[in-house]
Amino acid sequence: MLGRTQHSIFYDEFHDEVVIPQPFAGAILTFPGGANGETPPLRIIQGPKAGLALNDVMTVDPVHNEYFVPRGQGGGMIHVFDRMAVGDVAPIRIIGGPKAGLGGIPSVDYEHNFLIVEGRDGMYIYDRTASGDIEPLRKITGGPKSGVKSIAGPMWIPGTRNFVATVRAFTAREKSPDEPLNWQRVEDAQSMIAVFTVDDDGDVAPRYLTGFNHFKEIRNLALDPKNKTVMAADKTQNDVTTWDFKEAWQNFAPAKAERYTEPQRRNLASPRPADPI
Amino acid sequence: MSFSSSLKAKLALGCVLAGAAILATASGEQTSTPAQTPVKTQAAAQPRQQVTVALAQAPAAAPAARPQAAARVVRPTAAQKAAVAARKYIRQIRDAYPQYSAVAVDMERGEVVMADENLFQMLVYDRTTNTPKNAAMSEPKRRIAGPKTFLELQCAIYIDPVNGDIYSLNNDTERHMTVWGRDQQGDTEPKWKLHTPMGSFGLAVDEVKNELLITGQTENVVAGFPKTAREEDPPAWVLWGDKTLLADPHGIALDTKKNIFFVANFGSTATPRELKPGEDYLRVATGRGNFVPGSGRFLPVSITVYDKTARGDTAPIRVITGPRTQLNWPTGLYVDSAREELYVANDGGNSILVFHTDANGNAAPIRALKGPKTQLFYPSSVFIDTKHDEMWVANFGNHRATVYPRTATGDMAPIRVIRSAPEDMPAPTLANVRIGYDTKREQILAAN
Repeated sequence: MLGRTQHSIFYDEFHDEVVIPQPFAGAILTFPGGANGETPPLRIIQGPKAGLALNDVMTVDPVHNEYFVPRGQGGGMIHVFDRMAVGDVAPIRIIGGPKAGLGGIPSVDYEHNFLIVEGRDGMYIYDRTASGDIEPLRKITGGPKSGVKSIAGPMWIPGTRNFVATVRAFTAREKSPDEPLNWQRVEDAQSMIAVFTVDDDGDVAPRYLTGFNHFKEIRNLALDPKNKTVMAADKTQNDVTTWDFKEAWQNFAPAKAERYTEPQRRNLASPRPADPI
Repeated sequence: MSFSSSLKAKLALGCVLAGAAILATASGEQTSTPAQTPVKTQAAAQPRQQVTVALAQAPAAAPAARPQAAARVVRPTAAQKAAVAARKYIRQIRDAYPQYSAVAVDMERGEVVMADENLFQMLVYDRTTNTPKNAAMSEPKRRIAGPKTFLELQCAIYIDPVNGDIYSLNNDTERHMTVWGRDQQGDTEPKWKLHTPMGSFGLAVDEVKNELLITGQTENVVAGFPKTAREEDPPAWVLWGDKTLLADPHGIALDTKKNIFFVANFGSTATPRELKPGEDYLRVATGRGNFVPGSGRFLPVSITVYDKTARGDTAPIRVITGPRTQLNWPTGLYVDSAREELYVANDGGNSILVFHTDANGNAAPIRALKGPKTQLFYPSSVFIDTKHDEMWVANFGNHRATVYPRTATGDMAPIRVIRSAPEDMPAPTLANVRIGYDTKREQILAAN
């Protein structure tokens, strides 16, 4: 059921399960933690009611027992399933739509009840139980004041109101059409790991940045709360690095600033640039 | 289905990675970090049955904590920010050596060309290279690599028998097929390139009809381009639709004698959506994500066989599938038309399977090369050197290209090995990786 093309893997530590979206089959596969060898999935969500297609990424809310799955193919929406759902089941709610243009990796702050996900013009903060194509509570937009842009791949940090995300320097150049699809050089990418809070809004600066002069194409982040480290997978470097980032577990004051709007907004039909897989 | 192999390759890999990633004890505590208190979530306050059980069973580290209301708020200084920004990573998992993902032999010029999916390069060796047991590795005679090359996750190599041009097909992180003169090397631009809009994987070339046949993994499509196609030229035809049984297609091979072609399928598929008025069928079929949401399904792993003239939503004329086939992530294909043999790089089975080109249904291979002496480990590409009667295999899991007599079978050792890393160097086999972290076992999980 798995193939050579899996773009997300999530460990649910509360239930000791590994959850993997299967984009080509429009499925969510849940395996026992520590699965190895010929182990079938415990549960599969798949079918017309589930409505998934090219669902590359997802996250798990282990406390409220929900899977948050960007539908993948257009629409800019996230399907929320009961964690224990099996087979062809409809989502219990859908967040987003053409207006919100949600996509990318979501993350859930299950302590303070927020959903963090990349939207049309920034990192959106929703109430965890939000439903429909509604305005987020807050938008962290990046911009000239903060000095960052392209905020993506959030990972909320349990025990805090913080999340880490990938960012690029605001002044980093954009690609021209005749260049390779992915950044090939560190100096062009100018990608970093940043820490924000779920209370931030607008063009606010990350509290800390780390990972300068290493990344080319960060694919996603993972957390080790015990050691307060952040791990990053980079496609072009083709590596997994671990960063001491204990500062990301600190307690920060919220920040609010005017929201920055990119001069060229994304196409409504394409909520985010196609994630090359 | 290919499930067994998937677990081996993915979850077992996670364990391998974890071996390199077991972490040291925590860094020093931050005086500014708030004290931790047991979580009191909404779910815990109004528990559903599953949540209650889960919290009770959760490892000690699992229930997260909430900052105390009176916790001291930190306002980082510029100096503190600069210090964090200047930090380097404390650990890195990275394979510093080439990992062969595709192989082709230039039989006329005595060279073998390998795609390296780890370091994004193409490597050219003398055909007779054989890495001595005590040598660290064999160095290539030419290397093409760098930002100008457009080389990334290359999954297929083809060598033009007439002029020696090398065709390299990228998978979908860099959607181009690049073509190289046989003497090119270094960080240079290809002679020419073709934009392949699909998540391309397999490449077969019909030299008689001057045609490129390319599989699209993401789109469940086979697209036929003129061999002369450049840059944004569209395909001339596609094979696309539910009847085709194309399902996460990988390798493709052409039998010019029987005028048929073979496609290796991992098994995941979805139904194409209907065209909207005015849409270009060829563009839609080779574009990303043109499926009916919710139509995804799993089909058995298979090799589907089509008439060379098949177009559109056409069913295969035969399907090789079933437990006797031993198919498990069939990846690279090669057809020896003269001997009527189909070779399969059976990635998940760590084997090379050989079928008669008339095989159908639940057919057993006529030969299977498999076992510890073979040094096969996640073989992803196979090539038959008909001039020297040899079989070449690119192994993505062990830094080796292995060479056998063409008729090798059973647990047979290779007659030559080109090794790209020291003998016992482990291969993380990372490729476009995403990660998770298993806090219970302190392991990094890697989905490639």
